[in-house]
Amino acid sequence: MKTLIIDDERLARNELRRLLENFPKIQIIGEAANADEALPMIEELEPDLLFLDIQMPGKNGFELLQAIEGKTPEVIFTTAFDEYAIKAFEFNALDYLLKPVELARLSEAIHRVEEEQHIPDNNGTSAGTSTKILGENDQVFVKDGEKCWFVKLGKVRLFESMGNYVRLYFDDQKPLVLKSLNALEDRLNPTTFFRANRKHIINLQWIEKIEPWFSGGLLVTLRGGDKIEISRRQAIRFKDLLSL
Amino acid sequence: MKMSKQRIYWFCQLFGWTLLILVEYIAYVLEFGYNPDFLYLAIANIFLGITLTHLYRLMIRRWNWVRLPFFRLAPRVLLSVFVMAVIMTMLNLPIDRIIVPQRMVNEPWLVIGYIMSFGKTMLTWVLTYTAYHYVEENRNAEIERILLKTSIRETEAKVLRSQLNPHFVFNALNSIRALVYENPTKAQQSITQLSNLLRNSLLADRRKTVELREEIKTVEDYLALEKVRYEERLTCRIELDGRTLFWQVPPMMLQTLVENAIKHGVSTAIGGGFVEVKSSLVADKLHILIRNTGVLGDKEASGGFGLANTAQRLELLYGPDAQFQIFQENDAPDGPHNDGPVVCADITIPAQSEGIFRRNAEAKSL
Repeated sequence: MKTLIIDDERLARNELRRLLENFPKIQIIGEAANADEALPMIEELEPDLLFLDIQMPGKNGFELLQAIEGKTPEVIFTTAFDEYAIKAFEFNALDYLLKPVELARLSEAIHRVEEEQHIPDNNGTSAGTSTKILGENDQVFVKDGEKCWFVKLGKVRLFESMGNYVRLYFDDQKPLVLKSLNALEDRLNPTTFFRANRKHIINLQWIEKIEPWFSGGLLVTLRGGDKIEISRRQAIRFKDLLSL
Repeated sequence: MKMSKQRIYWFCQLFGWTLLILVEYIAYVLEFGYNPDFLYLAIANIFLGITLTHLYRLMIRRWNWVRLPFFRLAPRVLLSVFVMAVIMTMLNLPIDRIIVPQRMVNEPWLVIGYIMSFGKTMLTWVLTYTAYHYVEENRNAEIERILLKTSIRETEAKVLRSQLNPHFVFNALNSIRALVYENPTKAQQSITQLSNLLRNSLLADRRKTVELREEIKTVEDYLALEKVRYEERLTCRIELDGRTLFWQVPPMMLQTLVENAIKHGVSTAIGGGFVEVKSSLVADKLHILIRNTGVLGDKEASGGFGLANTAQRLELLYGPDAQFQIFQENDAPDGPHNDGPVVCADITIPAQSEGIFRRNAEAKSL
């Protein structure tokens, strides 16, 4: 597993490197001291896993993740003591290690990442070919206020435009992201994510029911009960796409 | 001398009713001449009045009428006043018929007149009682508020005074862990420094002031540990005036400010930065300057609480003679170092704390 260590302290990086020597599967491909160093390395080296410090000069760990274009690698956060950040993790499966790092805890975190890695490898090898387009097996980092999530796009059933923001719907969560729906549409794989109308992008895997609607449009019901209207113009494309 | 509330209540009951009935009794005596029956009736009225109003008070307490909103309270009070007036009338009217028959005219308004007259008395009693209660309640609430404020301030001061930033402690431990392999001697040294720091932080609760050189030792230990973390990204300078070394300063205050300087200044700059501590003696007062790389941000957001607390601690200990201010330094082109934007914290501490003056004054007066 190609791994990148990002921490502003040389000693902390060395310490982690030494601890990671116990895991032959982990191959450390680089170290970065801040976000500016890390971003080009992530682009170029395409690591599978990041060990990421939260408090760093310049961009902090969260801001770094938000700045990543394209596929986000798996992330294990490292932090010394950060009440707010740790609170953010409690809502989801994001993993974090407290410094000084305990070997047993590190091993646990790495195992969890390995398990995550295996699932998409089995059924979605073709999805990862183009770097900029995000498929359903790719995950994105989402932060809204104090909460943050690492979410597989396949789990997102609906994107809704709210002014300058887009609201993501997955599980029972609805975080807001500062992005335009158009920009998002360009990044999403069009075979899975469909622009239903001016305000919505839907995940085709989540469609439960399709009904004819006024003036040639369609009404789609998603699993979970959201009802989304497909405009007439898009309905034609929708029928083409699903050859209905 | 403080009377208990219970005693005040009974005193007022007895005194009030006696006075009231006495006035009436005198009026009767003047009008109709002396008659021992008047006296007995007056005494009976005093007891009846006290009993009725006391029952009313028990009722108020039993059902907690004081808590009721005004529009629910008013009809209840009026009804009770009416009932009490009727009872007084029922006792007085027949007796008055017998002992002062010359005053009785057989008109229907007589009963109403009696009820009105007693009603007035009862209403006065009730209003007095209620007003007293409201004033009492308000005063209690005020006292409680003041007590709460004091205790909150004390707690805040205590919490902020002694706490080392846990983020720093764990980062330091992590660095030391790495040093154990790389440089065991330095690791040992760092452990000693961290212990010193923890010890001083724990002791800070118990001591009001320490000598400046002790505080500087703490700051040096702290900076040495941060230097292990930040390596070449952190530069420190400490310049002390020899005359200031034994000056009394509040414990951990300088350390907190230097920690602030690193947290908001040096640690956020990618290229690192510097911290400088200088002490001098100006006009018989101690001046400490802490300068560091950084931009003074929104005070509310960045440790504004800590800075406000520093100012408050100085004020509490030394009164208006002590000063604390923090400001963005203007770019000085002729400065010896070109360090970019600099934040400066300036503390002025007088020779002795007010507490010491007070203690001396107390010692003299004894």
